[in-house]
Amino acid sequence: MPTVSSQDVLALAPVAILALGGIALLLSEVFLTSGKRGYQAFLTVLFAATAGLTAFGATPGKVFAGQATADAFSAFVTITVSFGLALAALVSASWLDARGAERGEFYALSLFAASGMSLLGMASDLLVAFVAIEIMSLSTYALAAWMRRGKKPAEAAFKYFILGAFSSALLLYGTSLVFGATGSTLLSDVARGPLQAGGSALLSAGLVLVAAGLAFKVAAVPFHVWTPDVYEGAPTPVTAFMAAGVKTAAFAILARTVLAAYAATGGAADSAFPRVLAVLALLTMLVGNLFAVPQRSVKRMLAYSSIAHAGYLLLGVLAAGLPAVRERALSGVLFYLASYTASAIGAFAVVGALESNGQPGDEPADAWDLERLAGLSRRRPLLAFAMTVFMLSLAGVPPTAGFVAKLLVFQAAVGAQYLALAVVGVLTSALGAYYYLRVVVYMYMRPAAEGEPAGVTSPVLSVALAVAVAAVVVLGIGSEPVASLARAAAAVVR
Amino acid sequence: MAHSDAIQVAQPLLWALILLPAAGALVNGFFGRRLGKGNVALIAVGVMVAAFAVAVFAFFQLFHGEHGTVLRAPGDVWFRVGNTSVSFGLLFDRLSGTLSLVVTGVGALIHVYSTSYMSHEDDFGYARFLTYLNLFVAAMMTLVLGDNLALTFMGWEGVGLASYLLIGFWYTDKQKAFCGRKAFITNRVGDFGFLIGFFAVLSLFGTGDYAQLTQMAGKLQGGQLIATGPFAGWTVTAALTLATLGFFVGCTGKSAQLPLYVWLPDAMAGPTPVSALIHAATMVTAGVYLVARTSFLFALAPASMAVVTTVGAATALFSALIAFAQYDIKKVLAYSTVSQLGFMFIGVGSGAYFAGVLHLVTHAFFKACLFLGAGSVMHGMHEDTDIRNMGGLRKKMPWTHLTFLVSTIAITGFVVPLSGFFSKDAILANALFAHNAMSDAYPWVGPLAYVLGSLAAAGTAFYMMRLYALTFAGEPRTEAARHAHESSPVMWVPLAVLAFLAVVAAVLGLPGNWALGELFGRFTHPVFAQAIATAHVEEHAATAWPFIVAWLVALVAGGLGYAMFAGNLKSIPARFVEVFPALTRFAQDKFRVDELYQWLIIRPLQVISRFLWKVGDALLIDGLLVNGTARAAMAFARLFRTLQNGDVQRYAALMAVAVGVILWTVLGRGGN
Amino acid sequence: MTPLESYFPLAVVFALALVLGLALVGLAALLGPRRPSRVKEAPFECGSDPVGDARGRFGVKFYVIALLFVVFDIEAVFIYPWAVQVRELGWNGFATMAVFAATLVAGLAYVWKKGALDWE
Repeated sequence: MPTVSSQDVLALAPVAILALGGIALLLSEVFLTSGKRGYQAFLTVLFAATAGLTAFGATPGKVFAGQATADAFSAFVTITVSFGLALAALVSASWLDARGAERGEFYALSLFAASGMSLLGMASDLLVAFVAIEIMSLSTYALAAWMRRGKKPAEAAFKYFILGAFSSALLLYGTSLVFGATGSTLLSDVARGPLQAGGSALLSAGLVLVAAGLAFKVAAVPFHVWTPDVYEGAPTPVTAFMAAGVKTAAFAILARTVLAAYAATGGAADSAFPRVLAVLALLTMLVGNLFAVPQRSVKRMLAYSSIAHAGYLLLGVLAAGLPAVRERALSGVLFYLASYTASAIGAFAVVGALESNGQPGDEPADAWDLERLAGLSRRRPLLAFAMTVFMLSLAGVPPTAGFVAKLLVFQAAVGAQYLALAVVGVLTSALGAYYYLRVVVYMYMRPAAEGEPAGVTSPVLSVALAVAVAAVVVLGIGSEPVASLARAAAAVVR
Repeated sequence: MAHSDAIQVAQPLLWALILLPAAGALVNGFFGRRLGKGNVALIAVGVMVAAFAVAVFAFFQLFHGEHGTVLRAPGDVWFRVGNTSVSFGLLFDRLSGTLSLVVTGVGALIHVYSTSYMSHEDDFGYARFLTYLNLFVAAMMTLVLGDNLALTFMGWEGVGLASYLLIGFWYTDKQKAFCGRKAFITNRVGDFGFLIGFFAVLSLFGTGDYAQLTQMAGKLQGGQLIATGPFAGWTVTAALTLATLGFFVGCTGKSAQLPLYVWLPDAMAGPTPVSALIHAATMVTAGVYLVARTSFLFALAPASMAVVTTVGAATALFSALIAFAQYDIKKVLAYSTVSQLGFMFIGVGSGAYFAGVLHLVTHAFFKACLFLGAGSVMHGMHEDTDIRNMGGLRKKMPWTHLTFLVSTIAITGFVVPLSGFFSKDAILANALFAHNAMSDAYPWVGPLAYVLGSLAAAGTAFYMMRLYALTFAGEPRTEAARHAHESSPVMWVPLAVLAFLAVVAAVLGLPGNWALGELFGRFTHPVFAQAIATAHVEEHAATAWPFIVAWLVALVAGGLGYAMFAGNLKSIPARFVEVFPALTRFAQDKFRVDELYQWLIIRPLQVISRFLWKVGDALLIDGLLVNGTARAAMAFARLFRTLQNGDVQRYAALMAVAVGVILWTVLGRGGN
Repeated sequence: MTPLESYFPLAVVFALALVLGLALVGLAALLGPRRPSRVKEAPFECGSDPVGDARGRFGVKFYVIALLFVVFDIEAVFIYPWAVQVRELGWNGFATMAVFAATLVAGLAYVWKKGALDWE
């Protein structure tokens, strides 16, 4: 019978701190009712920072007999998630305050979601992964419905919930099939392959279902259909957190699962599993980018862009199948996630600052129209500059983080002989430059509409944007420290 | 050692070449509106002059020490890919040093000119313009000074961005904004080629650093088989042909060669100083610089050299022909730029590297002068650009006229001691007589380039004299031309400096058997030594007859041009139009290449994206999600409820089908 | 003991449940007086109207209580097996369960303070 050892507790410390933070903020809402809620965002940042630091200093090792693993990989995921959480909390503070909707529960839910994400980064057992995914997802469903009086947020949350439940069912059913084939849900056991000779079909089916369930979370085509609606409908800071955090955590477990699946289904390139993944990556890159082009709503464009980025990340995960380039590919994926976290949260933060403050929770249809950005460079030069930096990073233009990230991933894909996919990746990111730079064009080259409000900004938002810009630029110019962390993290995953 | 001390000082100072203009852009960008025009101008020009001073100081260091001294400003690791690390480092050798001088020098002059030219803008527009201009210089210096392909690419993208911003500077004019977009998209197509080349080089050598690449490429033989990596089984020549052709695709975009030249004439929508600095003197020559910079790779790929030479020659002639029929003063100069860039590519393609780069330098002088002169004329003519409305400006604008005439002679080359003559004819003579890897494999390329190039040179002389004659000679043809006035000294002094440079730069390119002969060729030799050795470029004895032929060609064509538009043969052009109306119209329409692209590429793409938008987004998603605020509230609510339901089910159904298909695929393959 | 034999007690429980259910319903039908009326004939469903518009509204309070009930029900599910094994699990088990219970207490405190337990 496995017992709890101090190692288990210590390794789970980041998760515990985040959960504890959630409880603390929950209670703060009811016990400290001064009406001033400015402290809540800072408390969230504090918990996030503590969790990140704890993860940084955690001793690596197996937790609960291998059901979870504390290693450099999980530490990287936790730090990225914590960073995203802290940024999103600052962005939320400004956004919610402007709408009189700031409550402790919001931060509590964010912290709970982050604890799920952090646990997901550690999970090396399909059941633990499922639990972590549910912690993460249930919190984000609730967050998506935060502005509950509005139609759009309610609709978004409803869709997200229904389809999320569907994907969870797939995941769970897949897990049960995997268990049937291998007698275990531990990824290390799954990697050994089926128990009996005839079990490989069962195992493949199970793994496919698991992968499909995870593909939903990362918004890979064709499991992406919810993304535009949900990202557009959810409150903007929540969208930012979902885009960055959920993607990071889901890619972490997807990478671990896919590696186990490669091992279980016998080698890389010749089996069906990588081919399916390759097709998914291809579709995701194409659909995400092509559909982003005609969007006039910046928020919806960013939603499709998020799909497109999932495609590039999938390419990295796919390349990790080849042992020779595994370390490069995974470190590229991790770096990509870190860079996407900073860029996407920053971009959504700017969108959130500019969207019109509509009736309770419901924004008008043109709340995120490109026109709202017109002439921003005159009205708010610094905000426009920040948005430019994020757009350049998402487009992958040097010297921003996005460029280095894309380079690392594409390079790994080329190393793994996925030349055609890498070419598609480069081509579609060239296409991406079009719709990202259109935003820049509107900001710098279109006169502002009459009476356009300047948008809502606050000191906290400025701090968040400054940090995000700094992160994007530093990751772009001095990428080496973070990249070496990512390499160290990738080296431990086998 | 005083000299080594100076080098120690100069090396870190190289960063100032990039950071000074960047700082100018930052300050003017954020605070320009509040500073007022005077301070903005002071900052923008000040940083350029300071950068030029730094460039001169650094360039001076190159002459000391042994042959082939280079300055380096090593930087930190930027990123690592596998075992490859890319760092920011700057390299200031005789090639990048020359370009640095041109960029900062001509750039500073054009900044000065702009402070007067753009003075009609409001404070914001004025600051914005000088911000973009400074930004451009910072990016261009990054491109030039980067010691590896990654940094060069960064500059490459940066100049593209600045160019885009400046072409669309008057963005309130839809047409001009569209021109900016056209330039940007065309360039993105080219950039894709650059990236292919870059990745190919990274896969082959594991580095993008020029010094390391030079060293590694020096050890390669063309026929060698590559053992590992994505190119396993290819010969070195084949792999490098792919890489260098990739680079050249990038060059056709940036340097406006066939088939991607279409953006450059439209780029004239930008303010004239921009046309002078970016679309004549510096940015568009980035492609030539890249080929020169990676000449040691091109030398291993004779097929690429042949492609570069042929495309360059074809572009030179093609665009010279278009220039015959244009009536917009800036359009004529734009097609002339495309044509001259073609000459440069003949040079760097056929192994006459120094000649190509020399033409780049001289072209920067005289073409910048011509464009600025055109800007001065436009000022005098109240922004009219149609040369049919001009004439007789000789007397109204003496300084503009004088500098324009000098530059016209320099570009046509029919008065021997002016710079264009030697640089252009060095290229053509080299193309004809070159004995190297390319001419061994493709003996027809050199003579073909010579013939096409000579025809283009004749064309150049013709259309330039036509331009000059219609603008300055004869009598004023309109009221505006009668009342034209000379521009302020702030504008014509830079013109005079550039015209002076256009004359004296001839010294650099004198033929080998003259005094000071081949000054520039010997100066740049260390940079191209390896390429020349690899491609077995053989020196050819300097013979006089190509020079004489070229001179006669220029003289006859130029004289004809002047005679037909200002002299005794004035009836001929009208007769020509009468006899060949269709041909004339075809040339006026720029051979309808834009329409061809519209029909071949843009329309199908639009159809596809409209289809995707209609079917994928509008129909499946937007069509089912109501955004009609126009609808009545009840209908809205009812429809909303129904469609929302349908939506989720549809979404779920799609996912279920997808899972089914994937399962079928995986299991259908035997479950492996 | 064959696998089937081990399920014998379960079968007995099922049989007993069946017999008891049938007996109660049957006895009520035999012994009780029947004076049917329109209201009495209607199916009985926790006080709400069984036939009507499917979009009829329920008081949201019911849901809150139901949710809270589920939470503490699950707590019971966890606590029972722990209680059975409490000695074997030792202080480790106690600590684990204490953390679990403390979390729920925190939740309860939140719910209480928030006023979710006030019916009106």
